Amino acid sequence: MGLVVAENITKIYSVVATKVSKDYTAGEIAIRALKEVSFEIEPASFVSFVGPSGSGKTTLLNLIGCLDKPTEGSLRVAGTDVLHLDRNQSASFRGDNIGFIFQDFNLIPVLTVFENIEYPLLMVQKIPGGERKKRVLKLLEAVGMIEQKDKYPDQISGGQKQRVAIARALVTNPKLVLADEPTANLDHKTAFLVLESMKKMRNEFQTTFIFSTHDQKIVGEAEIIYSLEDGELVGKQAKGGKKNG
Amino acid sequence: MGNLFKIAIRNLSRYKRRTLLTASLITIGVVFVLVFISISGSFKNMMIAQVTDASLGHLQVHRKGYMAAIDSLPLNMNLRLQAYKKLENLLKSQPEIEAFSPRIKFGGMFSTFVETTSIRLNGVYPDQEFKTVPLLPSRIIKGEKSLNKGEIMIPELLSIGMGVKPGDIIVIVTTNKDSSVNGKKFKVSGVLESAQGLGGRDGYVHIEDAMEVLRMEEMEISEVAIHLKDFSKEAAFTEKLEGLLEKEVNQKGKPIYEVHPWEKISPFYNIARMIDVMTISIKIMLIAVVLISIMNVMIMAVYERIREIGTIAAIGTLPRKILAMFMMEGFSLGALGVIIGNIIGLGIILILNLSGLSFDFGRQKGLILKATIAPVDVLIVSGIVILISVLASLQPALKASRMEPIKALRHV
Amino acid sequence: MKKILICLFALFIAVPAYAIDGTQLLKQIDRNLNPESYEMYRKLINVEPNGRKMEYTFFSVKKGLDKLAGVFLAPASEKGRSTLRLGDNMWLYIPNVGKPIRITSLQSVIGGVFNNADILSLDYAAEYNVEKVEEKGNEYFLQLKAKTKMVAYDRLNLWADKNRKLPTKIECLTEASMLIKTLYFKEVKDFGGGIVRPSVIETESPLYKGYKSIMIFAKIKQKDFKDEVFTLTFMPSIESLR
Repeated sequence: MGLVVAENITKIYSVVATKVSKDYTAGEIAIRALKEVSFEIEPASFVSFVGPSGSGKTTLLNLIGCLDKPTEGSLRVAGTDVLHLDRNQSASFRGDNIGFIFQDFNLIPVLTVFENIEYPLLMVQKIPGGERKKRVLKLLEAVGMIEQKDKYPDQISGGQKQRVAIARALVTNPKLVLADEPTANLDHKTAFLVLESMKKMRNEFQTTFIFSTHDQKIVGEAEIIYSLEDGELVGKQAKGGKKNG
Repeated sequence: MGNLFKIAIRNLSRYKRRTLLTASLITIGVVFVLVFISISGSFKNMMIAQVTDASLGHLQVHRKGYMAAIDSLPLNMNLRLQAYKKLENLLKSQPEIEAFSPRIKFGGMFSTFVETTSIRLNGVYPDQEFKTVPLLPSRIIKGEKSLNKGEIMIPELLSIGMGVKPGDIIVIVTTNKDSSVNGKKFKVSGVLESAQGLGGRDGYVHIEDAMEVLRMEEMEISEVAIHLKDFSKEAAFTEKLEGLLEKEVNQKGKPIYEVHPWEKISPFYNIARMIDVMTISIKIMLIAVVLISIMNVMIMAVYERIREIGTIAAIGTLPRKILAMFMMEGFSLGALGVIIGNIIGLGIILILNLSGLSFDFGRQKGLILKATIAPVDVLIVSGIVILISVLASLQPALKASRMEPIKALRHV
Repeated sequence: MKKILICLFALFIAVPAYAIDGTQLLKQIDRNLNPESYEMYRKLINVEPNGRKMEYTFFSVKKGLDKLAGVFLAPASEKGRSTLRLGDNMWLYIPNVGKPIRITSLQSVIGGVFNNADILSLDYAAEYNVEKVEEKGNEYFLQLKAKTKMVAYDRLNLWADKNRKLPTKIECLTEASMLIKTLYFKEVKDFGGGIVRPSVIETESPLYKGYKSIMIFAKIKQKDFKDEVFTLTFMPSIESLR
């Protein structure tokens, strides 16, 4: 597939960003959404990017998630230089290494809860039936949705949907889970519950969790907080020590 | 594959009414095509059989130039005995030929002693002729289904017009090749219903009687009609026979024989061709219906699920998998329409057959329609619909597979 | 005024008195060609475009206005075949067949340009009215119109020698004056018994390009016959009259 083989040294980090910039052209105007952002994220971290809208959070998450490419700078995700991946390689890479949680949940309406979680194992990786069932059930239990496994997305609440989404994101054992404003469409109580679930998953699976939010109350749940403003990284805060599982 | 199918079906069921409407449209199209093919095909085949098996034969051989002059039934353009014998030996050795019949064609006067009119006649060996033109006996509406020496089968029009019936004695007067005139009495053995096209209003006499009244010292033949074992191989055999006969030339180096397949002799061939053209047109219409309706539905489906497409692309679904998903949907829709269409279409054909519809063709009345369709035709129609369904969904599916996940995710 | 009118009137009456009587002329032409009742031997020759010739020998008899009968003497294939004409009706007798069959005058029983009406022909005056008659040099020109629709040719243009009162040329036309055939009367001969007439009639037709037919008169004699000769039952026996 032509993926760049990761060097031993850089395996330590989940994400290494070096002077990453991203430009957009909106009509005739060129916008620099990210300006030479550099950082490193260690595995199993629970990281939050915070900033007002337009600060570049979503752009950065898209770059880390290999949904987009930086205009300048270098970016290594899970040990791989993601700049030179083509469309098919990016998709493969994402499928193997990254899990996504979306603001709008984005569950597939025609599939049940079980099937939604099963989807990546079936359509992205090719895991045999027995193994799939095992993993899905395990995650259903982990997010507390085992009772609803045969329900359709339109039959469950927002919080439940997001929990399903978390399970889906984790079912492929990704190195990294990205969540862009995961609680924006939830009430506060549910939001906290969702973040609890995410943390629990991080503990259990040692997956790196990176999420973005502009909600000050939620951001406090993160262990490392990066602040973004106008496309620039303006601050980093660490909370306590990292919890190792 | 099964999972793609499962997802496709689930997605189609999402908008039941739209799916049903589209599938119904395809179903209706398929039904129309199948029923049309069965009716028109049967009609065409019956008519071709009427034309070929009732008077013409599958193909004919003449002396070169005869057909161009056939209206005047020229006696100086017959095949001489030697030329005929050569032809006869050649034809006898062809495995594709079921039967053939030499004919002396001539014109003359038909007289009841009181009234005289003109008549076109074929002098034939009755058993050979009946084998070559199997529907000829069924055209005999009055009298005996046989023809002996001294007897004549007359066309219906003459029977009505001249008031002649089986058993009556009439006279045939004809001008011979040397311009002398001769006459002979005949007993009317039967009355023939007209057949379509050339030769449909001819009378028949025994070939030896024809030779006698034409004062032929040695037999000369105007035309040889041929009946093949397998009619569907007619075109191939005509070519073969033409190839074999083209080598036979006279002293001047000119070819002796000419071969005419029934298509070149009967104007009905143009009608048969028209039916074929109509069948193709209706198939094209079906293709258009399927193409447009499925493409329409798939474009809508893709548009409605842009965000979903973005999601599955983001979580790692390869573009070709997304392509396959949507094409499977289009395929399923087409397949649904085809399966139901086949069931209904074949059901209607069965009912038509059982109801025994009858129709008239020219002067022949009360022919029973037997609507049949070859399994291969059903497969071809179904195959075309499914192929077009898949192709129709190609463009929308490609669009879906090429979407940028980010852009798609932003979509409302 | 009165004088002028009388003069004009006299002129009108006088003019017809000096005109030729067309009908009389035609009757004369008929009588010059043959007696009203006769027996006749003729040779009929058909010439095809490729030069091939067919010759027939024909014996015929006539009685009165419109009774004719004839029989072929040669060639062997035709021998014994006879025709009968009574007015507008015609019959053909073929020995093989044994019983006469009715035919029409326009059909041609031997082929060639002559048809049955040409061979068994009636007096012109019997079938035609004279529409116009003119003198042209030393010829008479008559325009004839058929008396009924049954006559073979609706119109005839007849040129006759002024002195002998015999036809030289006849054009046979349709109602619309389309030419069907032309008859050329040649070689005047004395047949004895006061009969002096053309012995050869040649004909050609624009409808049969390249074909020519010739009628050669060998013998003509005035003769009377019983009525029973001109019946269907007598047809097989016409040769016995020779």
